[in-house]
Amino acid sequence: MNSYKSPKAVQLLTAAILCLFILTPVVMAAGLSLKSTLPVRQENLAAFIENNFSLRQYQNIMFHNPVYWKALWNTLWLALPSVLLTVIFSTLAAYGLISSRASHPLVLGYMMLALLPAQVLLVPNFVALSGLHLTGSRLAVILTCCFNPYYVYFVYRFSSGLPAETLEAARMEGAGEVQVYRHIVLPQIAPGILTLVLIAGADLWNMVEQPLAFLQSPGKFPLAMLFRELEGGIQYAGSILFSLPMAVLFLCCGQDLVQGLEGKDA
Amino acid sequence: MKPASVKRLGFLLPSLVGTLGFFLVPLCYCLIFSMSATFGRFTFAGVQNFVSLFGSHTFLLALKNTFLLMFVYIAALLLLSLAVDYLLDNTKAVMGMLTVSAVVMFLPSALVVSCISAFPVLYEGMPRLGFFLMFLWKHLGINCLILKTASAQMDPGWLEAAQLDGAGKFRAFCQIEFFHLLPHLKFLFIFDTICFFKMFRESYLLYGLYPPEPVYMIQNFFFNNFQNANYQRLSSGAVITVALLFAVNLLVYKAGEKHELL
Repeated sequence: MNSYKSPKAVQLLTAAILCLFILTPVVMAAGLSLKSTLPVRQENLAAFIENNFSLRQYQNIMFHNPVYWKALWNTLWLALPSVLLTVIFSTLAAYGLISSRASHPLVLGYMMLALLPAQVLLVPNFVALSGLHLTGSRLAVILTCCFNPYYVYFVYRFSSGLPAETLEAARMEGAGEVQVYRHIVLPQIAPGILTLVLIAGADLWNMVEQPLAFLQSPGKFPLAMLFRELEGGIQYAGSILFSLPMAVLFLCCGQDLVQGLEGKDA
Repeated sequence: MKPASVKRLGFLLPSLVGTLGFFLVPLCYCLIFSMSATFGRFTFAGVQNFVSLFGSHTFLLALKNTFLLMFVYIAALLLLSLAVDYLLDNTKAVMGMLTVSAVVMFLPSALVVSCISAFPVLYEGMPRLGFFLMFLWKHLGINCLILKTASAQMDPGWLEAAQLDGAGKFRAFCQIEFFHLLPHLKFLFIFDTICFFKMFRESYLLYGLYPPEPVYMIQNFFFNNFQNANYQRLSSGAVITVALLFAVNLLVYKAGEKHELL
């Protein structure tokens, strides 16, 4: 170890500032969610200090707000199939990419497409969807989400570290391509797939762009979009309830996140 | 080609069909129709769409805001992450703290938006600052974590050698560690660019489709024209944005390469 250490006091101060900055919104939302009903847009922070503990916001959401449950249902209906299809398509594609030699231009193509923001791709997506007569349906959102080129690139980065000899050896032993994919590649990149499920899941849990563009009826909108319409000061409890599954998921299995995000060889 | 490699390419097929069908082919279609007066039936109009686009106040405003804020926000974010990386040693406690603070990036936008909406001073008075705080809150943790992980992987021998030669901590950081971190900074720039464009969600939840002028961005422009079914205009806008984004990312990639040659 080198001895370029920062003084303890400096480290503590930096860590404290960072923690304070990161935790403030979380604590604030949690705190405000436990107050009795607030105005729609809180004017000042007096309410935070005021001692009026109540669970009425949660009560309102859970028992008096059919929109919330409908929207949560919509979110699940959009996010679960999308995540599932994303995993299937990107692992298959990654296997194709690592085991064929002429794949470099393809990888580059996926990477370039991954850089484009969703809004730029709205019109191309819309052209394709109206060609298929799918606009307005949930399938439209699922289809435009599950081919996300970023995730293909992501799984490719993860699996490109697999030694080619292992795959070759399995093929020499007479394993078919499907067997190699299922019994050798998939188990080895399982941690990568978990990370993929986490980041794709978080992204789809929070999706706004595609539903806003392709679902015409507000009855199909996912929860992430409905926060604009949660009235009566229940948005704090709503956002806490909505964030909770993601927070729990990531705190439980988000350990290898960095490796996952940057790819193994980065 | 041998039958085996054809079979292997078959695994690519579903994703390739989807990517071509939903992204690449329609994108080319848009490229063609950006030079047409009407959408759906091609009537050649040359660069007329582009000229009218650059005459439009909202497009110029959106383009200016997007690239200005993108550079300023990402530069500030990367500088702050470098500062944190410099100030904190890599101990287990620090890594744990950074891992936890990286998680906030994956929390739904609603959480941070509901907090910012408690401060009208910020979201009405200083929308750019409010927007920056949301961007920083979401991405500071993950940026610091990636940088810290990278600097933990550095060969400690380099720093020991620098120390033996009498270099101070700051000098060693600037002249050795920084160059080790450079490829990761390039990755982060591109990663943060993608994240920056996703800030549309916060903007939508906070302001709806029409945010105040200082934070009116290209995403809003696209959405509003999309809702007005102004497709050939959108196509030209998409072409310009794609070209600019690729140019910027290419520049960032080239910018680092000089140092690697040294």
